[in-house]
Amino acid sequence: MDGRASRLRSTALVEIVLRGRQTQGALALDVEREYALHVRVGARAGRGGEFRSPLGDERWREIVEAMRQNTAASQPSRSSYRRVFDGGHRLYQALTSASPELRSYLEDAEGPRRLVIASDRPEMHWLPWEAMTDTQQVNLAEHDVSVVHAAPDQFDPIPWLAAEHVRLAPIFGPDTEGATRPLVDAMARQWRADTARGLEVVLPERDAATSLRERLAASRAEVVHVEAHGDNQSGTIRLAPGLDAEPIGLAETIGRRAMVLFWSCFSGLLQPWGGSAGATLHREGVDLVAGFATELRNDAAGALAARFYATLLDPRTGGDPEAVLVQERARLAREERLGCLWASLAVWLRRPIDFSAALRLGPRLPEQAWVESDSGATGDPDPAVATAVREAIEGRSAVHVVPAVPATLPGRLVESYPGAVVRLSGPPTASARGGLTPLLEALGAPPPDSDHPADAVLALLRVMSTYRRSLLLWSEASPREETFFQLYDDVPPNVAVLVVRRADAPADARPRPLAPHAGAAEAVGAPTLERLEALVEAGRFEDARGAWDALADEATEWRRRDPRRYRAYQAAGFWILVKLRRNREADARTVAMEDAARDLAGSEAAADRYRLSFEWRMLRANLRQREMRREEARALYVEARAMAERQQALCDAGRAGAELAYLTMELGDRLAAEHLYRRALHLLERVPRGDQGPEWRSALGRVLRDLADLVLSEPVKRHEARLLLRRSIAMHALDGRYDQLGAVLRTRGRLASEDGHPELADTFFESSAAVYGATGNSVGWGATMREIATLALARGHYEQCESILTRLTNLADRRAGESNQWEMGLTAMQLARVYWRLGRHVQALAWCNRAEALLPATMRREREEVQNLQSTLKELQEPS
Amino acid sequence: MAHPALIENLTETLKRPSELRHVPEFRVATYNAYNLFGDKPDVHSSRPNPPTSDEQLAALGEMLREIDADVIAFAEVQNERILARLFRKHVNPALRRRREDTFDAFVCVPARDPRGINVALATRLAVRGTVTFHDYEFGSGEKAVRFSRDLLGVEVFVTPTYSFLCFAAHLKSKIGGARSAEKREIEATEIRELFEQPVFGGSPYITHDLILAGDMNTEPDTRVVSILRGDQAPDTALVDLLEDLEPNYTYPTHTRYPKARLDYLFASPSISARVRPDERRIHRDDVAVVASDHYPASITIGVPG
Repeated sequence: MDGRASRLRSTALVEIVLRGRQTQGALALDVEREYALHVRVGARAGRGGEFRSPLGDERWREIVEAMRQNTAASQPSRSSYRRVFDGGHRLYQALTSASPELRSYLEDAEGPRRLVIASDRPEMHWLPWEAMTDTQQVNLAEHDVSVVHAAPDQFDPIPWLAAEHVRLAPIFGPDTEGATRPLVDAMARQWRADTARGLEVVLPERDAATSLRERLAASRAEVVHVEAHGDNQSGTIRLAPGLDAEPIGLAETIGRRAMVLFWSCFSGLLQPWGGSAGATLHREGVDLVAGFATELRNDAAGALAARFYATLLDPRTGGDPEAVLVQERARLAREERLGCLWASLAVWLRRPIDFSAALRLGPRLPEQAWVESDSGATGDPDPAVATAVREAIEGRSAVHVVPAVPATLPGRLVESYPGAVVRLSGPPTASARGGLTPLLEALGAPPPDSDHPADAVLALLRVMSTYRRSLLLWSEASPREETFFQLYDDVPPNVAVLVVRRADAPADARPRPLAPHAGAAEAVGAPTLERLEALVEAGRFEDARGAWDALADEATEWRRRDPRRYRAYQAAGFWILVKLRRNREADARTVAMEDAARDLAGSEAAADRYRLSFEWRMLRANLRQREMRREEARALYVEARAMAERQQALCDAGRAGAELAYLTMELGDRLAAEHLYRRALHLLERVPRGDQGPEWRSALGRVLRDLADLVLSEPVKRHEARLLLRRSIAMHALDGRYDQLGAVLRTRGRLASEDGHPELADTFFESSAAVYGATGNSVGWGATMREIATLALARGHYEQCESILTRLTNLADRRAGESNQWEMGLTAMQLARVYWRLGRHVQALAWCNRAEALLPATMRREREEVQNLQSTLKELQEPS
Repeated sequence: MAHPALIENLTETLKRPSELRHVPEFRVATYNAYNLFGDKPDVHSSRPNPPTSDEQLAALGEMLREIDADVIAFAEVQNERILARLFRKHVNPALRRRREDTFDAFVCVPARDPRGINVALATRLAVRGTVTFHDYEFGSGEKAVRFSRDLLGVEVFVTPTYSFLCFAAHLKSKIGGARSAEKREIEATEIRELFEQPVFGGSPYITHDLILAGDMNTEPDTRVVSILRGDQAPDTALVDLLEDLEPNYTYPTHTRYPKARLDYLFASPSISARVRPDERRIHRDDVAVVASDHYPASITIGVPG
């Protein structure tokens, strides 16, 4: 998106030529008269054909009368509206029947389009082209089709580019109510406040010595705004006392301008002799003329003009007057259809107008981060920052390491971004919504999906994308923000993201390749519970193990005096031990918590007792699930959920519900699992601020990922999966839960695979395996490796698949006692499939037998698959 | 002794579908016109009411102009003649002045109501044909049941190519307590039967674009309405289009009885999605009090592309 919307509108040009004779002036409309139709769609000439007006003179008069009646009435009639609608519908049918290319262009193409009705026949311009509605009963403007008039050979699709400073000359005719005057006055006041860009209202005061023509000429205005009475009978417009200008006189007075806007009655109406204000100004060289073919009520004129200028100058939506007019016509057709102004608004166009340069700049937020000039107070920003801003590319994120970024930056640094420019500093995770609420409110963003700061960041990116070109500058960024933008694949195409990190910024607890006692000095230095939790959250389980051991004595004290810290300590220990495959020791942590809960007595300890009781159930259920003791796990989760519901603890109920959903999915009931996930998500998104701790953040991110993982195989839900996953990536990355990012990347790979992009899927799987390798989560690593093997098998890369699975098997054999049998069983099952595909039936059967022996009885689905293959292989080996 | 079935040719001028305009939408209304009687005796009305006063006729005309509907299902109409007179004198002249289409098709098949009131339909669109069930006997009890005032169906062309079915009903009055309620349930059950089973061959009416309009003499939370909607068969359920309008009453226009919603516009599944939600109305203009003891209701429906 280059911010020049007018260049993006494709064009179909329809030239209508009278056959046979040359006639001056307009002919009465006749359904029998033949015209030649020449169609050009883009640069390609169509077949052309024959066109007859579907409206004869009488029916056309009926339509015009109906249009006039309704545009003038405060309570327009439905019957009149229907006459206009019917005329537009018949005209559409006649035009598209005459040209299949045009039908295809109007019905099959998408995006901003333009239909130019070019003819030297005045009666062809009488037809209500603006009222055309397609076969779906929808006005063409609602499909973003701009219907405009032009004289033959006058239309040029190359736009006129306005400068930053555009002059507007208003003309208020005598005896008008001045419906648009307050608006023009407001624009004039606005200009004085901003002398750099936009619309300047110019027109010297009247004096006896100079005519309106002379004053207009002196104004050098590119835009002329006219509010004056038009006369239906004579076709004149009263520009000034004693100056009832006929079309040609009007053209002489106004002269050649980029744009002339008539907020007047009958300015677009063609007279019987073929002239109209719009047509004449068009012929005399005005690029865009907009007017009305009927009466325009004062209140409507004021409202239309206000909306037009507001939208035209809006840094989000403005810049293209033609697009604004199409949008307004569509709105009128949709919301004020009986009024028929949508059919009366006529546009004559020689070439599009591009006002992008004159748009107001978007907001610079937060205000205190930007100063008007690079005064001494701010100093010059580091040249590296200036270069980074200059080189930022929309639709992408870039990370730059710089010596320092001052607290304030000069506005001129980012003036190449006409949209919103937002500067964030430091991590967004410190508070609910990351403290971004004021920024979101200032930008008019809808509320984020939840209070999680990651959702606020995503909402910020979304609202910034509603401006034409925006920049997000994130200074003092930590590796978390870097990671987020490295993984986030949906930076809007018109938003550039610049992540700036100071060279001397402290290191984050980022995962590193797993090595015994790696980083021990850092971890052991001063073990605290907070440090221990940070290490676990970051997935540094080996380091965390050391810290956990070192805190054992303090934990004994916490058991007596501080149940909250004791619970946190035991929970951290559980996760460390589970990830390091010390399941029995992990189980002991849940027993310790259960004992501690039992020892808490009295009503004053009720909250701590609940917390410990809930947590030990959740952790023990998790362990049982890993051991494939699913029924025990299920019972524990159900107990935990019931406890949470009794306590009205939304977060806990959501967490337990999410675990139940995961278990239900493992049991093969996808429908029930989806229902449970959605319910859990519903609960977690409504957790009150006071309960939004780390458990809530983690659970929300996990549910989003798990639900995406569940539904991505259904084509109709794949888009939803993508959105869920993006939120999950943002949450885990910005919270620094690198271990969870491994799972998110694996799901992202599956999504890419379902989308039919196996190479991309491979890349995501490799990233997932790398993250798991770094965190030391061998269970996650194994699952990702099996996913890579599955993809390789599907692609027929049997050698790669066999090699991965064999390595997994060897590793598991070496770590006998550590690995879960079911994991080994799954690997054996996959190997059996590889050999089956390769036709090595003896090996396939051997692996089937091994898988059958390893897979627990609770994995019924997998066992059935193995047994089916096993029985087929056995039959093949039977002597015939 | 049952009367012989007498059917008059009651539609005077039928527009041809091909003469219709392409319109994006059409409006349907229901109106219990409260004893709309003419001054001439009628063979079908054994105990005719006195003629409707000029004041009421003028008020009805004003209401009908306000409703601005293309098809209006009526209850409590003596015959086609008085209906046509109402439109010709009190509605069409104003429409003509506004260069709008006038009402020229009136359908009323007198049935067997002792008061001589019937259901009827007036439209400014094109009528293709009508179907009447006033001779149809049903029910499982000893005594056969007939519709109190017919179930009148009319196929109405809205554009040259699009038509819909409009049924008008006026179920057994509330007077009569439990026995009346039972009769209404039987009538409602039979209406559903007629909609769900092919009547003259072809596909069941419920599969078409269909509107059922009228005074059902019962409130939305009753079993009769549940039967009419077809709550037991979600795929073919009718939608009560006035359900969520507030305040939700259509009767009475005076203050002597408690307010109730007795009038309905139901839509079949295929048409209900095209009803414009913000253009549904119960018309409670001041003059409604003079026109009838019921308020009329109207809806706007989009024509399919």
